[in-house]
This record gives sequence, C-alpha cells and structure tokens, in this order.
Amino acid sequence: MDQRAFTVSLTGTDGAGETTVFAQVAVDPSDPSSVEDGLAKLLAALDDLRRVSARTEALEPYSADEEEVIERRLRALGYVE
Amino acid sequence: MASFLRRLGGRSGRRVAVIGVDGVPYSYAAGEIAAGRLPGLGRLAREGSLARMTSVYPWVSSVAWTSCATGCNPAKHNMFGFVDRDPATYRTFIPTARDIRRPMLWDLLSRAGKQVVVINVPVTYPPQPVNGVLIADFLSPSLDKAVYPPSLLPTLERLDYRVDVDPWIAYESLDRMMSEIEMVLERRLAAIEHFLKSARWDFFMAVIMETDRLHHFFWSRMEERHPVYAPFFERVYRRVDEAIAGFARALDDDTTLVVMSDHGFCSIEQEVFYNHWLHERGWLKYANSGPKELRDIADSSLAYSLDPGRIFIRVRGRERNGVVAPGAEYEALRDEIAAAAEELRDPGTGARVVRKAYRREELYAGPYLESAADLILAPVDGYDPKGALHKASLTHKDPVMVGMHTHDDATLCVRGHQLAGPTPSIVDVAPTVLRLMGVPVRAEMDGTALVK
Repeated sequence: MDQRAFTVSLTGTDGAGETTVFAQVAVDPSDPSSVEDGLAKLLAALDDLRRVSARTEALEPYSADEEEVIERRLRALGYVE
Repeated sequence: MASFLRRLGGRSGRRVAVIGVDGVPYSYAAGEIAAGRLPGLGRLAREGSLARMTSVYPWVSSVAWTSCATGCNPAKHNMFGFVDRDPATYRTFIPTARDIRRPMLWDLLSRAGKQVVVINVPVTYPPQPVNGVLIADFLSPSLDKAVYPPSLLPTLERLDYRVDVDPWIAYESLDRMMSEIEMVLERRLAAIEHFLKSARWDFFMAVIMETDRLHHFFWSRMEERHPVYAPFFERVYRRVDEAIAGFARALDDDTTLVVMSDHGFCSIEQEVFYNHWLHERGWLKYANSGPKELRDIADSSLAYSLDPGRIFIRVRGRERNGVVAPGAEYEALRDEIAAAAEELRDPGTGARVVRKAYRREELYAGPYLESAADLILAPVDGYDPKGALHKASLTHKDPVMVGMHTHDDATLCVRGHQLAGPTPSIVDVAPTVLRLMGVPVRAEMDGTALVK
C-alpha cells in the first residue's frame, strides 16, 4: 500500500479579501476508491470555500438585528451597559 | 482498549489539548482539590503542574482569551474590551475576530500543516477557516453562522448544541437559570467529547463558558452557603471535573492536556459607575438630560469611561471635537484623574475602590497602543467597574449579578510537565503550546514558553 497523506489549501479572493480553506487528503494511487475519496474531499473544500467567501462578504460583521442580539446578551452579563 | 483510546483523535505525535474553564479561580480550584472535591483536576495537577496565572487588563474574556491565543498584549492584537468606540464618530461597536490583528494559535498551526479543532473560544466569530474545525463563541448571533466548515452544522444540530445560555433567565428566575446552565453545559460537553473523539486533530481547544455564567449569578450565593444554590454550584463543578477526567482518559500519553481559565472570580461588593464620578468631578458633561449613548456627551467634556474601567481623555485630533491638547495638557489631566481615581472611596464603607490607575503604556506596547484607553483602572476585588453613562449614584449592588472577574487568580494546569519560571501569565500559553508541538514561537509574542 502506497498511501500518501497531504494537506491542500485552497485560497479564493472576493470583495471581503482573501479566504483560505484546508482539506486533509489521503490517497493510495493503487486504490481507485481512495483517489475518488480524495477528489470528493477536494470538491467539498471548494464548496466550503465558495460558501465561506459568500458568508464572509455577507457578514459585516453583524446585521442591525444581530448586533442587538449580542448587545442584549452582553448587557445581561454585565459586559456592556 | 488502550490501543483503541490511543487512536482517538487521530495520529500520535506531539499533540496538545486545551480545555478552558472560563473564570475558574486558582484559589478556589486549589482549595477544592485539597479538600478532595475535584479529583479529576487534582489527578492532573499531581501528574504535572497546577499554578496561579495572571490575566490581562482589562480582565474580560474577549481580551484574555485573545491574549492567550496570540501570545500578545492587547496593543498588538487590538482587542481591548467587549465594546469599543470609533473616536471620530462616537459610534460604539462590538469587536469581533475581524478586529484581531495577530494570528491566533490555530492560524499558526493550520499554516504549519497541523489539524486543529477549536470550540467556543472567545473571540472567534465570524469563524475564520482553519485546517480542521472551528465553532465560534457566544458573540455568534446564531449557530448556523458559528461553524466552520459549514458542512458540520447538521452534526451540531443533532447534538442540540447551544452557542450560550440565555443570561436574561437569571433576572427572571435563578431556579430556571440553574436548569439553563446545566442544559447548555451538557450540550457543550457532548460536543467537546464528540470532536475530541471523532475528529482528526493535532491541536484541540475548547472553552467551557458555563463556569463563567455560574460565577456571575451564583458566586456570592456559594460563598454564603445558600441552601439550594451552593449545592448547585458545587454540582456544576463536580460535573465539569468529571468531564475533564473523562477527556484526560481519552487522550494518549503523547498528548499534553492543559486545563486553564482566563481570569478569576470574586463576589461583588458594589458596582462602580465611573461616568457618574467623572460627571460629578466636572470632567464629563452631557448634551441632554437623558444620555444613553456616547454621542450624548457634550463637546466640552474632558473624559469618559467605557466598560470595564477604561477612561478615555477627549484628546484634540483624536476624539470627535476633542478639547484636550496632546502633550503637557493631556498628561496633566491624565495624572489628575489617575490620582483622584486611586483616592475614590465606597460611600457606604469608606473603602478604596481602585487598586491602581494604570497609564496605558504601563500595561501595553505595540502598534495599536493608540486604540487603548488612556487610563485603565484596576479595581479592588469586589468593586465591579461599569461604564453606564447616566446613573443616580456612584455605586449600586445588583441583586442578581453577584460575581465579578479578578485579574491575578486564573488557573493553569499542565499534565506531564513542570512549569518553568515565576508566576505564569496568560500570554505564556500560546508560546507554550507551540513549543510543545514543535512549531517555532514567533518573536513578536510577549509570552514565553513555560516548558523546556
């Protein structure tokens, strides 16, 4: 068995800046199913990159409603007045 | 069985797991260990080191955990409190992970090819990509926005994971708050156990925030031996201790386990409203009769305070319509306020409320020093500093919020290692973890590795 494990980092750039996601892949070139698994992990990482980039752009950093939720929580804990 | 346990969490090697118990004081933990009531933590201490650790100023979780994870003081990482202000507009805002200007431990380790799991560490919202898993903290507005990678959300939903307790329940019913804390604690522990055992990782860090919530609402009730709340308090500690013992058993001998808190705790004698004091002394004036936000202070004001105990001087050129000239005028006013703060007394008892008024350069050094408050008031334990703008009196004793943070009494327990040097500081944690994992310590870090 000739298994090779490696970390792949995928970097994308959007309006909010640069985003990097990571994928851990282990592949045995003699085992087609492990290659398929590795490719599936890379595709999942690409999907994460797309979703994270979209979310990063959307969060700036809170909507008005979200900021109210957090402020309210912090007020109850005595961290803000 | 042993070989099975050895496989938990992935491959062997130099791995580190950090379990944070927010706000657990060294003095309390050490006393409970000595009394045999925290056998799990006691065993870890016997197998390594247990030490009192200092936190940072201000000693709130957002600043303390960021200092822990960066190894840097606030003037390098740019996190100074749960609330901050834009000096040009006086708009206040909640700083998030995007405001942190230094890489966190998990960023450095991800770049070094290490796999990480990070759960509930303040301040990790919005979750930034890591080489592994990151579940952000209670500054997340909802769970679906707290998770990286997003594909893990169904797993957390299955575990019925909660971002935080609802702290407002305490103001309605302390009995219901007991149930809330225990419910969220169980879900937190279940998630920690799940990822500890099922994810591949080299570095694992999770913070149990429920101890902090317990302390805020039940600390003095524990000290006063309340017939219901004191046993509840001890039950939560026993549960956390039992969980830590279980986590410890699941780790192999090559993994260093660190249990730590970010600050200590004590009972509140009085809340102290520094803006009331600044107003009485004539340093703060209001533009209307019912000021609610920073934008309501008058242009002629010389100073104001933000939580907790941060005093800003209205410096010309820095603050909106600032009136105090930089240089000698600024220094003279700062000295005057600092001296007066150190003489401030509890009107009920005559006790001092400020242990020391620090000039910012006494505490911090780094490129973001200018963002820091001009004075940071370190309170006498028990006098909780508050930044409310308009209060009728200097002090107030809240019937619900009964516990406050302390600076000098955080906990650090490292299994399998004797700690080197004098009293550790929370900024020593990051370099210590990097040293344990064989990753170079960054020269910019203020802390030093506590192990050889």
